[in-house]
Amino acid sequence: MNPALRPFLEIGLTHYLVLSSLMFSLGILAMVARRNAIGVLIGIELILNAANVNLVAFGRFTDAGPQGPVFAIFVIMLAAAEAAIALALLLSLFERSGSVSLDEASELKG
Amino acid sequence: MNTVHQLAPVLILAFPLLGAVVALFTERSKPRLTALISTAAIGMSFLVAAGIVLPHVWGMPADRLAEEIASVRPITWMTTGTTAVEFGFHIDHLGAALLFMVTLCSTMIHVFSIGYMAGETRFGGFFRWIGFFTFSMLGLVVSDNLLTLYVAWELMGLSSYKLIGFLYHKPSAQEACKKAFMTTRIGDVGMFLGIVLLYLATGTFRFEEIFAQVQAKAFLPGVAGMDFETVAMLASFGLLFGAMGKSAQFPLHVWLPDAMEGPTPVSALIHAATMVAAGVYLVGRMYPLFEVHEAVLPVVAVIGTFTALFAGTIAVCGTDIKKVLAYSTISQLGFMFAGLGAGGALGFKAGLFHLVTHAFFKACLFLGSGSVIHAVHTQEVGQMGGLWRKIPVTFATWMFATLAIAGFPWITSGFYSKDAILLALAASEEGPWQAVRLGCMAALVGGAFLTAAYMMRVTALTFFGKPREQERYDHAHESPVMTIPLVVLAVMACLAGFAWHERMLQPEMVYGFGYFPAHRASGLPAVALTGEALEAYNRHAEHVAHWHHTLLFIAIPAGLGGLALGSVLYMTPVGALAREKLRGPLAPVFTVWKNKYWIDEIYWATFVAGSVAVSRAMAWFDREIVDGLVNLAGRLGLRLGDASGWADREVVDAQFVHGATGLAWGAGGLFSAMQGGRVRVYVYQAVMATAVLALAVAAVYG
Repeated sequence: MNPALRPFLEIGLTHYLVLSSLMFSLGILAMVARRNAIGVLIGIELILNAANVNLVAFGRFTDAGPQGPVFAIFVIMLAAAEAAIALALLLSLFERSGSVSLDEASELKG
Repeated sequence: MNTVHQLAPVLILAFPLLGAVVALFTERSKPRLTALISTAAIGMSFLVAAGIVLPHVWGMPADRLAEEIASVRPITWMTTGTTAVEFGFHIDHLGAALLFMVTLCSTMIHVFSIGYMAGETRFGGFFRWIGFFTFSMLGLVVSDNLLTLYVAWELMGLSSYKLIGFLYHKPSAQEACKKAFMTTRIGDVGMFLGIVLLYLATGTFRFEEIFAQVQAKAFLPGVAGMDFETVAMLASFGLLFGAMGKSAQFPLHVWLPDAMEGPTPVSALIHAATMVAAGVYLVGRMYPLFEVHEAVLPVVAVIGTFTALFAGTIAVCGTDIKKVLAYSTISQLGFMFAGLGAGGALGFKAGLFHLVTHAFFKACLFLGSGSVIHAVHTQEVGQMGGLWRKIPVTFATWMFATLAIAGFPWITSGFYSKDAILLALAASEEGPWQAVRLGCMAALVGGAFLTAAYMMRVTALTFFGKPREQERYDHAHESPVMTIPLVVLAVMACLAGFAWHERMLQPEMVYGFGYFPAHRASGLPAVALTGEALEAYNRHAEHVAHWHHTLLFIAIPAGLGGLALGSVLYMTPVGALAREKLRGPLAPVFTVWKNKYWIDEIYWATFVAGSVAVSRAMAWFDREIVDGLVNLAGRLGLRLGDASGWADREVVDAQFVHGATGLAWGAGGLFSAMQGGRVRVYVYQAVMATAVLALAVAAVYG
């Protein structure tokens, strides 16, 4: 292997952090840019999973024991609960207004 | 200690879990295969459990029984701050007995379900859930700490919810599963508080460390300034409340009869191997803690005795074969609690002994009722009758199980375990609570009589006499896949007594986790005693032996008398005449029993109606008082505005005012634009604000 390439090819903590920040940014982008509520929800999931990647990566590359994966599992569980509630909200939003476009649901306008 | 033993808890847990996971993928496409895999998985667990239990039943000297059989070194699960949560697995004699019972019953129930559930639309899914249910119970038994025990406890709540509501198209099943979930959850609140209190007091969830502190009579200082005994008592009552919910003790028993809405194998699983066994197991597991304050165990005894009689009387009037068995389970669980409430090594052993023997004969009875229901397609005993000719194997096994629950002397396990409970209560230690325990003992003799009587009544109505509905009778039949489990369980209903009853009568220390209840004569290992302690031990042993002989003349007539009364009343012409004569005078009593003491109605009128009323009151308060205050403030503001408006117009320089208004308008417009009602914009603002904050922090501290 070309020694100059080594830092790029050997997977280390940095790679995971880059992946995680990419996922996080894409998640934010989805939340800000998507009009469809489902898209926003997917963005939220992306952000949570970015955090998961961080947790697992730090757990793997520091001597924190199994804490990283343990908390990632907690996050997955919370994400599932959150998705269930969000989808229930969307369902009732759809029943009220006939669409899941967030721009139309602007009753809180000041 | 070899590696196979160390792996045992993991193996026992892994098989049913793997079975349930595989079932996730195959349950729709290959339901039959799923059933076979699930059954084989739990069967493997049974083999492992049998392999570690049987050597301990035969051949292990009694004073070494409580040594650990297998354990997995605890690993750190997670650390938050300075708190490390650890978990591991542990099997001692108590866990081993439970594992053997749970896996055997569950295997038989799996086999039975292959026949009973055939043709059901979600055949494969059913096996996934009963496998997971069994896994949860096994996880509870091998836990070496309160936290994983609590997790398994809640997993069991979830599985029972799914299984009771398995026939989800029936509205009654939907109601029943919600009721079971909510009622046990009420108990769990108590249990949770108990666990939290114990954690505050001891700083650990692990049984071994908790019991070491109980042994030393010293918890960590400073739980609200309470002393050791008070903390132990409060924690015990919290845990007891959870156990009462799970094991259906009065007043949290209401879910169990309704749980009959699930398919019959589920009822067998809930009533024998899992769920209700968990509550009794919890009390047994935490026995050292329950013994600390002398008032705790008598309360357990009184609750158990009351429940035993209360549910027994309801069972007398039942016409639905499964409901009668359900109330009989509540009643028998009451016996177990009463046995545990006797205190000392005898009480501990008696309660858990009855748990194990009861599991076998109650599983047999429930599967037997399943076979009957499968044969005649009804649960009402009024539509059965004379079935012993048509389904002889079911009848024979049912008869054995009935004799066992009635305590038929010498050949059935129920005789030994019920005897052990009465003995433990009768020979309980002297002191202010002895009278309470003797009273419980006397009441339970009545309970034993009642048990024998109502079981004989159901037996007579189902299997004897003339067929009351000829068409159902003609089509009745049974199949080997359902009768083989029945035979196995009926054999166990007899054998389980012989295997353990000698041990039951020796008052040795048996609590597990290295705990020695040194302050009780009944709890010491006989080998380690000298001088005065040995004398006390011998006196106690003599006392126990004396009561043991006396009780034979009380318990045997109670059981046989109940059986005789049931048979005479429901199988002879004289009995029919007597029932006719008694119907009038006894009508008020039967009305009370038939309506189950109106407990459901009372709960509906108090708790349900009460919470609705509270919500109404809250709504009224919100509408009238809170909104009224808001309106008042608004009107005050208006008046103030008028006043200041007048002052404005008349007093303040117009130019200045216009400037201020302009500023307000401008600011208002700006803030209004921010409150656009668009969620996306809010997200954007939040992200921007975070970025600004991060930059600011970096600039200041970086």
